[in-house]
Amino acid sequence: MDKKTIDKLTFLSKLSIPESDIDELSKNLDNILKLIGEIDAAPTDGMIPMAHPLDFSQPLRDDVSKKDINRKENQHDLSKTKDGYYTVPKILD
Amino acid sequence: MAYKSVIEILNAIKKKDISSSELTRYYLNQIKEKDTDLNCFITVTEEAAISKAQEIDNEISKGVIKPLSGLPIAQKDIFCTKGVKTSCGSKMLDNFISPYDATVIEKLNNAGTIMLGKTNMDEFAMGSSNETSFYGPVKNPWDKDYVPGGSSGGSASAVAARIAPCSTGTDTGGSIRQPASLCGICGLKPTYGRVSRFGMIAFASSLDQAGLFTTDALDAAVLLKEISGHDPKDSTSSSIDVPDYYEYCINNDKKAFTIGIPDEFINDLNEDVKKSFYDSIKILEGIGCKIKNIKLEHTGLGVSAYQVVAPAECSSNLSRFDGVRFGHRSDKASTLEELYRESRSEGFGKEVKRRILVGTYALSAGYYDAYYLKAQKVRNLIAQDFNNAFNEVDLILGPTTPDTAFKIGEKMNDPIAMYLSDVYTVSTNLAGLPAMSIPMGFKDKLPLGLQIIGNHFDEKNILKLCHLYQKETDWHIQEPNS
Repeated sequence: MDKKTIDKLTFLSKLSIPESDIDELSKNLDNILKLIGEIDAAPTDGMIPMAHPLDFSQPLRDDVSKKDINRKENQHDLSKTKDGYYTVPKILD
Repeated sequence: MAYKSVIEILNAIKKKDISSSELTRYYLNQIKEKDTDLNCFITVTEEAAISKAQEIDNEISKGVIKPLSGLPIAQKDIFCTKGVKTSCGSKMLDNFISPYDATVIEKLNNAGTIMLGKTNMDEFAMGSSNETSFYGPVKNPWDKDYVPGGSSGGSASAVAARIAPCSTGTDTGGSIRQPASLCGICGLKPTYGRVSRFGMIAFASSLDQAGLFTTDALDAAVLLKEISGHDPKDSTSSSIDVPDYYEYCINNDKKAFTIGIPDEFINDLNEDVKKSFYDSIKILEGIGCKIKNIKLEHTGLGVSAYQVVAPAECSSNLSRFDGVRFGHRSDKASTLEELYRESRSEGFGKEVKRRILVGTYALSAGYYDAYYLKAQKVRNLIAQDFNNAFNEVDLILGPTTPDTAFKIGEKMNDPIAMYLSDVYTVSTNLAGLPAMSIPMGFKDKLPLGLQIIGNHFDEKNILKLCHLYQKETDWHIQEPNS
């Protein structure tokens, strides 16, 4: 896998890889692509893609509001919040 | 310890031969004595355990006995535990205190168990050796130079070393069965949907399933009943009735199982593993089982299909770790984009990053059909092979792993070799089937595991066969010296 492809993937997945690790990563990704490429020859004409292992329909429940979310407990990490909101670096000047 | 199994412990507590407090202190002392070396636990919840044990003792003195009253248990650190750190083996969640309990934890707490602590694991359950953990590798108690397997390595090693009588694990591609095999204990992965995934940190949502480690199959039967069942908080959990597995194992007369042996599971086995496996078959024939050779033609593609499906789902699931709401937040970021990128780059380890990149690749425009869609079709082929097999046989038998445990460090730089240690386990996850690994012997003083695969929701017959096998063998009661 070339560096350009790795750059695209790291951009899409919001990751950065140190320059010193790129060669090893590239080699490992090539080997993984070779392994997963083995599915290419499988006789799948007419097969339905299987996204889920069990054939049951999605159960639905009544749309009842509950008060089981406690904002204080969920936002116990005070370094990330202010006045009940999450803080992030400034987006607009 | 005078009590060798969960059932013996529960009976002793009921008869008041030992109190829950005494038992809990015994296991906490075992952890203190042995875990510095083994590294099974990320967090030991000593104070809370002692306090809960006293509470249970008070209940017992008033005649209140719950199904698992006073039973100490170790919980894999992938399950959210209210007020206790839930790290998932990652720096990303090193500071995460869950505001709620996973359903598995809630059910076990309500049944009367005492949590000893949270066990070490491969980071985000991605690994087969427990070496990708941010908290360092776990050692195999049979030989500390060797891995315990993974991803639930801490849970498996703790039960094998007898520093916990039982533990929870999760299995996405073999993460319960493979470490159970390498540590010489029982590891049960139930049918997908049998046990709620609510509060279990997601790796690959269509494959993940919670399960158990014990030393005896009957112990797993008792525990499985308590963690199974529909959960309104997990829409993929099944409403199918939960049987009394223990009762079935003890009182049902069924012995003449028809057992399928897939050619694909034994063709490439090394001679030592093959010998133990055929010895096990002879034991099962001796108790009345019929053996039939079967074909699972496409299981050879299991690892390849899995290595598309699992990373694809992981790349999506792990996008929630952005440094904003919880988990690691980089202090180097000056823009929102940098906050995402730096937090994720600092928080995730090498293997997790590699799988996110593979998953992103498989889902990206131009490659989706060739990889993700194709893998889903292969998944269907594999599932159909199992469906066809279960028209002819009750259960399927094979080795759990190609060999015994490998040395720490041996496969860390070779991801393909690591992935292939799950070659006999991944296909059952792709098909959503239940399976169990139990000890079937030793090679060079390291344990070997026998895998029993059942049809969907047929855990009771898996457990029954394992129980029958364990009545004839003593592999499961052998303990490591460490």
